[in-house]
Amino acid sequence: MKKALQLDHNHIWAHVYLSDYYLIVRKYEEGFKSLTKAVNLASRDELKNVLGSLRRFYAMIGTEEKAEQITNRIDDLYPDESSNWYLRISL
Amino acid sequence: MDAILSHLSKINGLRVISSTSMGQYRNTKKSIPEIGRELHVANILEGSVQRHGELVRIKVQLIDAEKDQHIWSENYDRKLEDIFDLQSEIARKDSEELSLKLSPEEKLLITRKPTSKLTAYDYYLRGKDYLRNSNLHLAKIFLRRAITLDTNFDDAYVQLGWAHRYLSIPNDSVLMLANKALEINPDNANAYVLRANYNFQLKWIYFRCLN
Repeated sequence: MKKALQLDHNHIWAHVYLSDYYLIVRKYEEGFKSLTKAVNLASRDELKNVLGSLRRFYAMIGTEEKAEQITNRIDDLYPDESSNWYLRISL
Repeated sequence: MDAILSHLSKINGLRVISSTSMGQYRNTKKSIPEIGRELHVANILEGSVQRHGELVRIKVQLIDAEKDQHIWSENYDRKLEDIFDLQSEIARKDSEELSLKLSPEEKLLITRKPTSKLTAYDYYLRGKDYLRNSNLHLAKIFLRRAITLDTNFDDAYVQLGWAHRYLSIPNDSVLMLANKALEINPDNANAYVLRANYNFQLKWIYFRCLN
């Protein structure tokens, strides 16, 4: 991912996958930084998946309340999409 | 426009929002400053493309989003076969107008032609569009056609890799396609991302995800 970001620092999914890596190795601060960059770069279409990653990130580090806030934000942004059910159930 | 944004995205110091973000504003009545605020961007690149047979007319303007003022605008009439040079030229012009100095590596990245075959590029764009709309089988067909016409078309290998990834075609083909793209072009950022996705989500070899 680092190589991908050297070549294209605006690559949303490189930031997201890097945050997944940081989550597994428990470098939460770095992971959060990567996800914040991805959120800031994402288009409306992409934002839903990026926010899904952010929600998972919060849930995995034990901040359920923040994860719930992200789920609500996804509901607000995409009120008509049935896949929000999945996000809620998997929380 | 996608290709121009992709070029600009490689320039250090520029934060580029993807063209899909702009899609929602296609028929909007919102003003440029409103759009700029919603996207948190300082400048907006607006353009239109008209094709007449083998000729293409491209109108491009770079706008200061806060002041709603033109920074630069230009009309280009070119032959379709010159489209890749034109994409690079527009990206270079934008960076100049934004007072960005390009490193030699960045200059190389934005002048690199994706393919030497225009028809292959057309198939590639169609395949990519099908992929974006989750029509994976059609995406696969068009991307394969692109590769058949140009076996050195690294971006087409990457997009075909994503189609394989989402179609759950035997895992190793995803890795093979990513590696093939990197063999052709070691600077293909998307190929690294595809390979990381393979290592991380399909094989759970998470430490390989870093490189």
